[in-house]
Amino acid sequence: MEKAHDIEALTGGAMASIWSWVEAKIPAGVEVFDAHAHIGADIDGRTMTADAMRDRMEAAGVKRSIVFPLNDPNARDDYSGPNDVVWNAYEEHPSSFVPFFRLNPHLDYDKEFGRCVERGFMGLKLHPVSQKFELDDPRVVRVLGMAAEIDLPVLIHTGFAMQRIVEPLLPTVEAHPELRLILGHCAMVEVLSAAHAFEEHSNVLFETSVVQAKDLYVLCSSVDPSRICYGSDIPYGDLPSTLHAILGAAEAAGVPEADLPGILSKNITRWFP
Amino acid sequence: MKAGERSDAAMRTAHLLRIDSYMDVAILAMWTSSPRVDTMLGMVEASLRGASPGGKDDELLEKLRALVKEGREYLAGGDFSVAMGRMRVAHDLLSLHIIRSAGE
Repeated sequence: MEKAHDIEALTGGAMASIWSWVEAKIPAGVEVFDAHAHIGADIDGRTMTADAMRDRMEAAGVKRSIVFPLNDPNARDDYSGPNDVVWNAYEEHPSSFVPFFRLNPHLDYDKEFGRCVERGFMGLKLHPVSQKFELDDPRVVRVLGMAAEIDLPVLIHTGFAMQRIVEPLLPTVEAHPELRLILGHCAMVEVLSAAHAFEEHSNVLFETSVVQAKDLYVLCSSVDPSRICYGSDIPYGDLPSTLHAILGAAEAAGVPEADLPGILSKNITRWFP
Repeated sequence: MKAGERSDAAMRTAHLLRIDSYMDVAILAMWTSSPRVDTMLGMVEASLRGASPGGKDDELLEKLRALVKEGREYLAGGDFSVAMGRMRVAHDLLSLHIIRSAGE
């Protein structure tokens, strides 16, 4: 469970000067939008409640967050329980959260897909590592096509433990150029290949959560800033350190200050006005 | 040549890359809950001791020492997320410093 003192601890002590730098770098008037965060419980023991999330957002000046379930021990067959937890958080705090639902492509997902879309979820989260699937699995290709058909944004984990990203994903993106796709953790192990492969696919965004600054430097040096969106991956990441990473990398890569509002907010807000 | 005499860009980079490697190992040990994680963090602290070549990167090392020390303490106290935040920032400061130095 999130500890109440974490919020102060995350920005105090040796982090105080870092946090001051981050706050000064965020352009005035920008309402930071976190494009990657979790609410619920994970099989690894981590948890995050809606209230703890909002405490962190408020402390760090984050206005809205895309939220979706963790790799929940109670996911059972269809993820309906964890998806309901996220939906309830959204209903309680509609101005803070943008709810995405999660599915397991190995299982019969049509019913839960339909239920969540009808309910009003604003996007779909897929995790190839946790649910052990490849991005060119026919069941995954099918659900991405379903999302494209109804203009439902999809966030795919393309971060830690991924071994194949661009080669299995590119054919689906080419087949559905209208698909709004967020590459969670910006395809970090293949970041340069992904930057090249998806350069012309303007509906593909690169999300930055818990990615090392050196990977983000390569990203910021390789794609237009309009294609980058900030994320935290709470509870695996935290807002101060992930904001520091993207702002530090952007500065080192020479990203103009005028592009920071897009990275921190506007690029993803376009999809969720 | 005496120890500490050489302080050209290659020597500075080599010294910082050493520290970067120990940080990589320690952060992975944290993610994987390795029973040796405190030892790995101790190795990072050891790699940060002393002056940098020519003293040119001392200001950075001072910041890293403070972050890593607090990170190790928070982890020992059971506060993983705060500890990881400290280590992530330390690692990123180091990486970006190396990248900037390469462009000088």
